[in-house]
Amino acid sequence: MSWQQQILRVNLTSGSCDIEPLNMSWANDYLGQRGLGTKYLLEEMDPAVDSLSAENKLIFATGPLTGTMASTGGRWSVITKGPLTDAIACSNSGGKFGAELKLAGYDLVIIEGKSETPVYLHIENEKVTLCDASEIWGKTVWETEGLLQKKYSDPLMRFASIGQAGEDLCRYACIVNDLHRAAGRSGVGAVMGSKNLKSIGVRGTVGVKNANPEHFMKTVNAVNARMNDREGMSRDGTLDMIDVTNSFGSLPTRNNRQVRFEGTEKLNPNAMQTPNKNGHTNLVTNGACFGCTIGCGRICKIDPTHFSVKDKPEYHKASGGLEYESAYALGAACGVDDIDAATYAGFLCNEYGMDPISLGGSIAAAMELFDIGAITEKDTGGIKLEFGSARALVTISEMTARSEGFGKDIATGSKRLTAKYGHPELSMSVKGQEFAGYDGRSMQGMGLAYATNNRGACHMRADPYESDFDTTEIEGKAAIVKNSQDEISFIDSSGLCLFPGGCGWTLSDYLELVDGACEGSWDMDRLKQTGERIWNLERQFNLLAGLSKADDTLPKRILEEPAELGTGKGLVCRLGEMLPEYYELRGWDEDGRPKADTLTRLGLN
Amino acid sequence: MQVTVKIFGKLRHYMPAGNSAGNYPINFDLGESLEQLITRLPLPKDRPYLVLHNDNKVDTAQFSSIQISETDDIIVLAPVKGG
Repeated sequence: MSWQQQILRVNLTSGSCDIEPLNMSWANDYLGQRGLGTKYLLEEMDPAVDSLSAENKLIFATGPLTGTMASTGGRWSVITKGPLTDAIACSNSGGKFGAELKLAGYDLVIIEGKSETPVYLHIENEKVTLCDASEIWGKTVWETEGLLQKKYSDPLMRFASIGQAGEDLCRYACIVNDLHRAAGRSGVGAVMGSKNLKSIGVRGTVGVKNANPEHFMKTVNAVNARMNDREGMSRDGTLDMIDVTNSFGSLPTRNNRQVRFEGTEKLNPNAMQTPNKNGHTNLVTNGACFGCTIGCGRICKIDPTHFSVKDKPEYHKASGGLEYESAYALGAACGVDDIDAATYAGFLCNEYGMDPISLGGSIAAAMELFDIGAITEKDTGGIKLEFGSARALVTISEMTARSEGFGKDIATGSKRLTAKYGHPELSMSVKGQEFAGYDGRSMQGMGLAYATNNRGACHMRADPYESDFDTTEIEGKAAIVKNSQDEISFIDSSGLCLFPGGCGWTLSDYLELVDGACEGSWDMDRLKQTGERIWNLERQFNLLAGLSKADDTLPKRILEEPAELGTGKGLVCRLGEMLPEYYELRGWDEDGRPKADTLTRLGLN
Repeated sequence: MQVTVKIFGKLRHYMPAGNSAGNYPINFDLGESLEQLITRLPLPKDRPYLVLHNDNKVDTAQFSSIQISETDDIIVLAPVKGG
């Protein structure tokens, strides 16, 4: 089987690093990564703890297919209680770090306690060392990786680190691996910072075993052949979506005041791939994570003459560029159509360790506060924080990254920011986490998905896309959202990426790979029940953390202000009609609590 | 007469060279229907798509009842997911 069957437990308070056997009963019930990490977290920790206290735990988790030959088998997750939402946080990343961690022999690394002084963790197979991080504390992610790479002189060593945003407890700080991939959402980097843990560097050479490698490789090849619709994703990345949502009228613009942005032609794949007036082209090439045969990543360069980087040669090199979500959040949400400014803000997110969706969403909320006069230049330190201002976007992104001035307010996230200035209704978030790039009025299913997602607003935990692009009627949406949430919970626990699902794979392809990696006892019923079990486990965590039905909601704007344009013209999100049906399908009571028979059926009581 | 159809998402790959922005000018005769126009677009037969006509989503069954004019806003999208 493709589990390593061991976990690494690191207690930062005592400095101990212990290797323990994996609980295989839990692995069979929760698979790996998201599901298994959540199981360990809930078993070992009171969900009511302060997310930034030593009592919170931080779990780095791989799946059974992480580090194998399966296409996209490089996924890994960070599971903890999130400081942005005070709910379960599970943040998923790619790159090469996760596979290296698995190849070092670990399914999970559980970080507990808090170090008195900054440290980093060095893992080389079974040799595990906590090291003094005083020389890298205060450095960016990029500087940290550079210094540690130089120290260990091993180009195959992989790192997952926080930047200054994590050290300064930015509520949406992320953990960045391989320079520009990230466990991005919900503030997992702030938890790492609160523990004085700067980085994890890992090198693994023990490999991943499989009981029947010949059969597994045949399965991998057969499933790979069915990924037959990936050219678009390779060429244009996820950014391809921006023209689709804009045309459809579901591109959140200027803090969801509008659903269509007039500047998309300056942000879309064509703009990224076409030389500008200086002959500079934003896109350099595409990039792929470990084992990936799609390569959706964007590797980009900022025009060196652009105001944001004119005298900053360190930003003239190629790095991770705009994807759909960052282009939406740092572009349309702020009304900014300057691709270089948005790319620069994205670079800052990678360099300092911030989630670009929540950064953009928080800046957009601040721009609306500025627009209505709730904050002024006196509050912002002289910045005219106007919608559409690329210079304001650049300046406030720098201030947030460095925790300077008004940037400290932006770093608290839109929920806390708008509450501080008396307009909580202007936070476009669920459970405190900022919206992704879809408006819940023209995409009713996505509205329900945002409201019910255990980690707050998110576009990656349900799949109502096909239905939402087909109709704004709500019949059937609750079932589509519920079923796809369960299926994605399973995929997120496998070590595989969701994107093959848009490139030709079906759920059966994921099932075949898991079955091949986990010794042939998996069928579709078990897959779906495992996903449902994971979803309900996360729900239990949130209920114990103090969340309730009241948190399964959307901002007033989406519930009461009809969209002015597009396919959702005249509509608000009909969440109130969909939510009871959703609860019923889930086997929850009217207050959104799993009923006893639901828990029994899933083995959760 | 001519109308420019905007084609977005994965369908852009099927446009002739020089149409990378997704704008596809197409000639039509007075009285021609949306169905006739769509039939002449270089769209793959095995890929789903949806059509927006003057900001309204149009079901396939309605294509033949809509007459095209030069001022129409016609968008053809491939439904996609993720981000």
